[in-house]
Amino acid sequence: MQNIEIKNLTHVYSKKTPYEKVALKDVTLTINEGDFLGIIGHTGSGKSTFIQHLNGLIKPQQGEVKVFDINLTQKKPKPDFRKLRQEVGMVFQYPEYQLFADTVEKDIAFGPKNLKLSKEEINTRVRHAMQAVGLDYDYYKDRSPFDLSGGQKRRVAIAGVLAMMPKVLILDEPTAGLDPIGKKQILNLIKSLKNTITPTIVVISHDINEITQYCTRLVVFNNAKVAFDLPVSELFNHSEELLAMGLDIPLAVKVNNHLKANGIKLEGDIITPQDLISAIVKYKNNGGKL
Amino acid sequence: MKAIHISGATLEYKTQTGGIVRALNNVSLDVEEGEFIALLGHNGSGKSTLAKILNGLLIPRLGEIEIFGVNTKDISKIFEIRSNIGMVFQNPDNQMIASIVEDDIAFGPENLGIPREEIIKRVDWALEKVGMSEHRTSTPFKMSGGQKQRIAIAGILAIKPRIIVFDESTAMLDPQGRKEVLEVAKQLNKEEKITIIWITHYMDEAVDCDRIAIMNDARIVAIDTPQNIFKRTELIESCGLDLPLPLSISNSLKSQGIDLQGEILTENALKEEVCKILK
Ligand SMILES: Nc1ncnc2c1ncn2[C@@H]1O[C@H](COP(=O)(O)OP(=O)(O)OP(=O)(O)O)[C@@H](O)[C@H]1O
Ligand SMILES: Nc1ncnc2c1ncn2[C@@H]1O[C@H](COP(=O)(O)OP(=O)(O)OP(=O)(O)O)[C@@H](O)[C@H]1O
Ligand SMILES: [Mg+2]
Ligand SMILES: [Mg+2]
Repeated sequence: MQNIEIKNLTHVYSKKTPYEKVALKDVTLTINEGDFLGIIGHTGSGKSTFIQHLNGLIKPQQGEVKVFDINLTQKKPKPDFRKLRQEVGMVFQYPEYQLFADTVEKDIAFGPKNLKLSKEEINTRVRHAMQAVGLDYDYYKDRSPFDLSGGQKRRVAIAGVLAMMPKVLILDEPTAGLDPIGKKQILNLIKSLKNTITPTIVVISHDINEITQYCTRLVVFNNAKVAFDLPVSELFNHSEELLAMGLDIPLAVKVNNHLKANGIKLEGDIITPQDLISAIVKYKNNGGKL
Repeated sequence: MKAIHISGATLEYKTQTGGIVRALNNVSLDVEEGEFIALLGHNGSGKSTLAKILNGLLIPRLGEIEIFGVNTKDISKIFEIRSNIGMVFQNPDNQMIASIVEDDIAFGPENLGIPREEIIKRVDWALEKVGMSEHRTSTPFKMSGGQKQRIAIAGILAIKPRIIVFDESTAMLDPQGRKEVLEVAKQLNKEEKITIIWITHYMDEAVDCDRIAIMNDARIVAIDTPQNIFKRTELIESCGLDLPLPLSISNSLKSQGIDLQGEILTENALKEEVCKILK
């Protein structure tokens, strides 16, 4: 199985300085092939620190990280980082840190070039990736990525990772700064990638209404630790605890909780707006009886 | 006096390959002092560019901009304009300068040559306004995103601007942080009469502002109250925007024969109306 296994991972920034910060504390988690995993948690809870371990950007200080058969904890022989970065694609939280080339096309082509693909193949991948994120190839290919608007930069950063066709895709706040259409595009894209190229997807998001639209399993970070690791359908049985952590719960869950408190019992799991709408319509059509 | 007066602003960027991108196309906008305006629009529609012409960071090729009656082209008044307009951006890390909160906040007024005693007063006041007084001597680098963003706002406040532009200042925050920052902005607007321009991609952040302006392809295509704007479903869609989630749920319920009353823009309204209809 192509699993990612993390055992007892602890990470401390700026050790032994006044700025010392425990960002991860004894985190154990297995990401299975085929998972559609969402990670939520307050700012500073350790989410970005965690995922940066998965493509070797941060070396494990304490604990184990194994991605497929690549053991990132081992010192000798050195883990195969090249292979790792090819298999695990990562879109960073702040896309401006990810862009570097002087044109959009070169930026997106950089990864595939390193894979030593043919010119034609590279070009095809760049075009496909740009189309997938909603950037017109001819209009944007020669533009400098640094002169784009915030949302346009993010699209370029995502396209650069897509062009690598990784087996695992990790996206840190992929839709922050995108307009509503861009959000929908990226979400649909993520869903379709899941069924085609990239079987395993991990998404970090602060937008609970969005992440519950597609993730099936949610991991909640709180103060450097994993507080919950549950199927989406079960997590919101813990609404009070989530709210106390400064997190949000989906609008549909809130409305449903309010109805419950007023003696109105809707049928079925209610997480997404669609769940709520059909349950209300059903309830009304049955005259309040189940 | 108008806080902001823009008439016929047109601005192009040159691209590296010699092309041009028109980011503002004959944009006109008047904002009264004390208004809270939400600015919505698709990626690349020109929102951040509009923000940058307000404080003279960019001067449009055509058109005039006046901030409390002072034209941004008037080089001799650039300090006055810059001290009247504060900007808060998306990434709080890029806005932190000093390693102690109070130094960070004092930085702006120090640059304006304000006397030491006055600076101390302002730092106190600004920290209190954003609810961070007890963090005066902490280091901003260790704080949560929401806290950092509030420190950034305090730094802006210390300049005592009469207008603050928030350019997607909540995009990277957790739900708690988003709420905090939006609350601070609303409170500054109410208590200090600071004029607010709130740029966002979250429709729900715009539902209780005074007016919403929509940008589309370098133009302002609509400006009206939230109630009126969100009634115009076709306009919203054609501009690549969305309805606030409570409204889109309630529209969908209405279309399936559930007889909800009124324009439902907020979570609370949705809860109450649905409850009423099902009881
Ligand atoms: N390079 C660094 N040096 C020192 N401290 C850091 C560094 N990077 C992160 N931290 C601190 O470690 C903690 C965890 O940060 P991390 O970025 O993993 O959080 P996060 O959950 O991704 O938060 P957000 O939702 O704001 O992105 C925070 O307190 C942060 O301030
Ligand atoms: N320095 C620059 N050089 C060239 N073009 C630019 C530059 N800055 C912005 N642009 C272009 O001008 C247009 C408007 O950009 P602007 O940043 O104002 O958009 P925005 O509405 O703020 O978008 P977003 O929602 O993505 O932040 C975009 O098409 C963008 O690519
Ligand atoms: Mg992060
Ligand atoms: Mg912008």
